[in-house]
Amino acid sequence: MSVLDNDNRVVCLRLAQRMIRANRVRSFFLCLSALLVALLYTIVFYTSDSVHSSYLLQDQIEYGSTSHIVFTGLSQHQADRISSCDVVDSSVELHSVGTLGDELLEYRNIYLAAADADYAQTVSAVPEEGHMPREEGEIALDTMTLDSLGLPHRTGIPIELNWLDVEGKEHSSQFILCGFWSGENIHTESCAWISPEEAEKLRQESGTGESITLGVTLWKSGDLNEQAEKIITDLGLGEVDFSTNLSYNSARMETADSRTVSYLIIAVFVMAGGFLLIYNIMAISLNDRLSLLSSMKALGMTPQQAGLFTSLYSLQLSIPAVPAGVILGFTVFYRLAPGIVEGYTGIRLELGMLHVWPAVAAVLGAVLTAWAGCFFSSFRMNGWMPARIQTFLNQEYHGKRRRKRERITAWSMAKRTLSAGKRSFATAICTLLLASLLLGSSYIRYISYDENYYADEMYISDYSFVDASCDGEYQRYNEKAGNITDEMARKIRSYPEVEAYGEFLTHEVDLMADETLRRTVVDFYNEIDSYYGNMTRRESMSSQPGWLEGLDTMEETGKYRSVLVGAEGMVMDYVLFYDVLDGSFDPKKFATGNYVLSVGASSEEGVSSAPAGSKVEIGGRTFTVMAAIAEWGIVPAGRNSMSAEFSLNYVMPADTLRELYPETNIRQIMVDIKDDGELRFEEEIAGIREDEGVAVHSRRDETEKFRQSAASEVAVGMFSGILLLGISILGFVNVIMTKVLTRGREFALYQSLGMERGQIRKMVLYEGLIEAAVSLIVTLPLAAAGLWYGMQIYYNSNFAYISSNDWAVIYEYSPLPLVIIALVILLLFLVLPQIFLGMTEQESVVERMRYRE
Amino acid sequence: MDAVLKAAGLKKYYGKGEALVKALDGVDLEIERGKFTAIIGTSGSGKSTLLNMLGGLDTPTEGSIRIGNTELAKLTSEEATVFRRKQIGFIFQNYNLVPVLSVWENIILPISLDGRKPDKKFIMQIIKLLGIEKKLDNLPGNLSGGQQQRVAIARALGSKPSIILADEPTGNLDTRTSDDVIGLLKTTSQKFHQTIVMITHNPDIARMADRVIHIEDGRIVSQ
Repeated sequence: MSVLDNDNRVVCLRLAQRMIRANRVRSFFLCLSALLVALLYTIVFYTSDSVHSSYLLQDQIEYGSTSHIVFTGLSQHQADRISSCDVVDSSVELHSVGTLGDELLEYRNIYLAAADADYAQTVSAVPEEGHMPREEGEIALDTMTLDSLGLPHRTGIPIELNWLDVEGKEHSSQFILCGFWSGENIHTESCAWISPEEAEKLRQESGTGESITLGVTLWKSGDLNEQAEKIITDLGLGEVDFSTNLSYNSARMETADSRTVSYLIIAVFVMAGGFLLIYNIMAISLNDRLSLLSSMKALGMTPQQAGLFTSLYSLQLSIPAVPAGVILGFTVFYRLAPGIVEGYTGIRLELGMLHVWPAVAAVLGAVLTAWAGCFFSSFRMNGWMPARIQTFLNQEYHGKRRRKRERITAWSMAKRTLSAGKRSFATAICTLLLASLLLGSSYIRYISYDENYYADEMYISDYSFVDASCDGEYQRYNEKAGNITDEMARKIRSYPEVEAYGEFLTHEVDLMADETLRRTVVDFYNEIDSYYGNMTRRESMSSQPGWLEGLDTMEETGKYRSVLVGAEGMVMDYVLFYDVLDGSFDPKKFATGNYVLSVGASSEEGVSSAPAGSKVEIGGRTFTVMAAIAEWGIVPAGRNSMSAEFSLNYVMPADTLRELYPETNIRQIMVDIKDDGELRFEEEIAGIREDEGVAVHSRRDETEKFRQSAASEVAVGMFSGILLLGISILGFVNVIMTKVLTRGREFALYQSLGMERGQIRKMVLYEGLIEAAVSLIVTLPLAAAGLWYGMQIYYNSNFAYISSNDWAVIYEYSPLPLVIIALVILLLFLVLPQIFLGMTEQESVVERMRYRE
Repeated sequence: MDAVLKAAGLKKYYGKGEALVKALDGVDLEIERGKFTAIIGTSGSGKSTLLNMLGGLDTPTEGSIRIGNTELAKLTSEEATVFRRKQIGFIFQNYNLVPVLSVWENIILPISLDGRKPDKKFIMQIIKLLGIEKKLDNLPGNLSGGQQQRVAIARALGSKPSIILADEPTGNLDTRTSDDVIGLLKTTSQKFHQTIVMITHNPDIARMADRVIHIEDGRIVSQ
């Protein structure tokens, strides 16, 4: 039988319990620390989780369905077979009689389908206003569809819709709008809900079958493409179209993972800070605990039992503290996070998006951190012989030999106290370094988001008023919508705060090219473009069949689509953003209305549009091409028709376009306002902001959102940094308290030997100065250098360019947080010791001398 | 002689070169079973170092210590600890009672650490003999120095060790209490047939022992 048998563990537990009860103050602070650590872990892990979930939800929104796989164009038999597959957990069906056929909706696919609440839930197509169709003749649509069709957001209005049945035949039906919901800008698909009875009636009228779309949720979400293919093959369904949910795509998931890594880096800081905090508290009572350990070991406590005792000690402290910290942390997170996550990802946080793992990880992390802090404070000594521990303690008490025999001054006495409580002091310095790095890096990240650069790149005017029919990415501009009326434009232009005004009108027409234009354009696209190697420009457009078809038509018949742009005021600045390709621009001649600018591809090797000096006939009038200009890009908002995929466009004064085509409406207005006129202007346009037919975008709103997004990106790091700084300050307060408050008797002794109060104050002041200097000399250069090099490495890595606004980062270094930290620490070490000294001086010298410490 | 403890060529050196301190410099010693032995010497003579070596609280630079059939030098740290709590009882000058445990818990602590059940009848006998039966639920902080040392004696005897090592057990006590404590130590050792090795610098206390070993400058000068 081994001599190691019968190692009792219960006695370790009892001892740990007694130690906690016997040292209530220390236990309280340790509990508080464990609580703080659990709180921080919870916030960090839950933020990381919610940001991750939000990114995946963003992908899901882009996909448009919560189902894992969506099969389309199925028969009822096929749908039933897929639904009953073993791998399928649940399924929802969409029975559509066809799709909406209005050409204004050509960029989107809107199923005319029998109302199905379950399917509607999976594609977020549940009416927010009104209700799902209950009776024949009712219809529910999303607001994007209403905007595209130029219809108001109001239930009860009659709607006439063109639709295509499953065989592609066109029909027209009358409906009453019974409900609507906000559509997502990025959705290319949506539903037009009608009652099942209405669907049946329309199907019978059209004489065609129905098309079933089946959304399935699988038991396991791994490799959806593979699973979908397997289902189709196993069931022998042949050619079936399907799409898989983007949020389960491994590449997307990896992207979401990498986007949340920055939060997990903060967890490392929390772990280090929490460890140092607990280690610091334990270090204060190290001598007492070592003395006990020495006795216990002399009485037969093995190193294993000593380790177990410390572990059980930290575990018992964690039992009340960690759950409380997790609950508190979750409460704080839930109060702060929705704003942060929304600013960061644009998704509103909901409870259902959260998981249990962050809470479990926070519990484990906090318990382990508390254990490590307790365990490592005396880890070395656990295996020592009792006599060695005693020797160590004696060294601690007596200090080291001093060789110098210098004169005793307040300064020399102050220097000698530096080694007292050096462990606590060192841990506080380490925590300060961590806090400095975290705060400094968060601040640099924040100021490196350049809102001016962002605004300059994204918004070319202070305000933009856009016809709602073309506000979305996949919306074709409805020329007939006319939501921006001439009266509205006149009012906006007349406001005194308006400094510059401009408007875009567009109108699509088919024109005939003469032989010169046809040859110019065709030759340009048949030439090899050095940018694409040996490929001609036409070949480089092979992925856009609509565009190629347009060019072919022009080559064969001379007919081409043209978007006529009526531009006025500041809009001309954007139109002429790039250098003129051919000819020159004369504003006075242009204003006469007899000239147009032709728009082509930007190339130094030739012109792809009507050359300067050529004539073009538009609407029965002949215009001279003043200059050929390059396509300028981002304005106006929305899309032109699919027919205009290949187009040769012309810019003319807005009034000229109105004269040619009097029904042309304003597509977009752009306005710059005076610097101090924003508030007044906002009051003036309040009515327009309420108008659902007009989308108002302001540079200030957008830069504010950008700033909020930047703040959200760094919020958790900043919050954790401030808490770490707080922990570090607590450590320093602790060191100062220990050094001053516990030396009341020593100070009384000095006074009894003839030291004046002023000299003692001076000595304590010097002590503070020395400690502040040591803290700052050790911390700040390291932090400054770490930030200088670390942030450069960070901004040269891919980690810095993950979220959507990271392109607008211009790295800027700032030591401001370090300067503030230095001032705080200096103030702390100069003021606090004097306050504590004052407290010790409240008793007389004799009373203090009597006092037994 | 039936020796319970044998030490041969025991040396303990600290430091190097000029700073070399020879705390023990070749000590040979045998302790007879059931006897009360006193080790006497002046301050810094090496007597506490010797006791630490004998009790396995410290390791010698050179030499061997055998208790019963066990050679201490051959034990690992863990084995040495377990051996110590089973075979050696300690009585310290500063009592080394655990302040958060009651008197009873302190007495049975080495037995508890060993995972054994305390022999309550035997321990109560010791407690009654030492006159601390009414203090069992008290914390050490509520006891006088003499009472605390009695608890330490009870703790040392309670685990029925092969040998009890006492390091200046009366160092913190007044003369009258010291006499009481030594008297009790001797009485209990005789009653329970215990071997006791006691360190002291007081010749009057040493005289109460069966055998006195004199140590100076790390060497035994008389025995």
